[in-house]
Amino acid sequence: MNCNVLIVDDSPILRMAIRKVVRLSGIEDDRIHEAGNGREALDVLETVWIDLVLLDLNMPVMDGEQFATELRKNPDLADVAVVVVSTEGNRDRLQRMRDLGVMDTLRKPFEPEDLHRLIGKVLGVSK
Amino acid sequence: MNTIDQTTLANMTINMLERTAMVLAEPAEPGADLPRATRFALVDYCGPSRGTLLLSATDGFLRELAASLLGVETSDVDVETHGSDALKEMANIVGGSMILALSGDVCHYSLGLPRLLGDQDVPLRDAGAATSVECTVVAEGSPLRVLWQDVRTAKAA
Repeated sequence: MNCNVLIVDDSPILRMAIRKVVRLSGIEDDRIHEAGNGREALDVLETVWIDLVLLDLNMPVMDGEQFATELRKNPDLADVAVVVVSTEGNRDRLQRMRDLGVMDTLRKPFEPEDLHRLIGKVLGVSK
Repeated sequence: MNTIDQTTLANMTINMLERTAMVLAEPAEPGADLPRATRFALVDYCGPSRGTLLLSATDGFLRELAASLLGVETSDVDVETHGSDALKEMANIVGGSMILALSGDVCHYSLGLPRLLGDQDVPLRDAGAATSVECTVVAEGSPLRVLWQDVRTAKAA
């Protein structure tokens, strides 16, 4: 599948685990990108076109909410699809993320199949 | 604010391990002679009350956990990096489930960033905590201990 996916999470092992599921969803390995916080994610987005961002919220340096705010300020990136993958349960914060255009939320803990389905749904492929 | 008992805490931990890493765990038998934890991760939260969640695990447990998360053999796991990171992430996930369980329908809590602790920095059970609940779950003979301590604020009390 010719889509680029960016995994943004401060946990390297979780990024690796998510990467595995993204690969199983049909995305080639060289189209999967990683960032350890929102700042790094913005840097990736400056150099690579990304179709889907899988975004953690609680991260050091720049958290997911700050990242989404910055993303929407940039007209070139404002339409990038973002899905929150996080432990976040605070309703106010999740509403703010929806207001920032987040397409969906997957709460940790999740099963790999949950993420697999969500990727298929957001990228418009049935699996 | 809801409260969480030992069974609920153990179930949350077991659910997290199964869903995230497909690691099958069960509550430890009372009085079981289990190996001593070697690695520790702490996450704090605040909101209507504040508190901490401490996860303590053996290298054996973390090797199993990391191997399962990564889909590799346990012999291929570097416990120092992968194991410690997995423990920190598990603290994050159990912490997230816990503040949801504490809240009920609407979550007004915020979770901090999980951090690793050295052996000498592990906090003892806080005698001043309003609530202190501990559970131990076992996977493949290796234990993971979870200690939740909550300090209610004046508003929440």
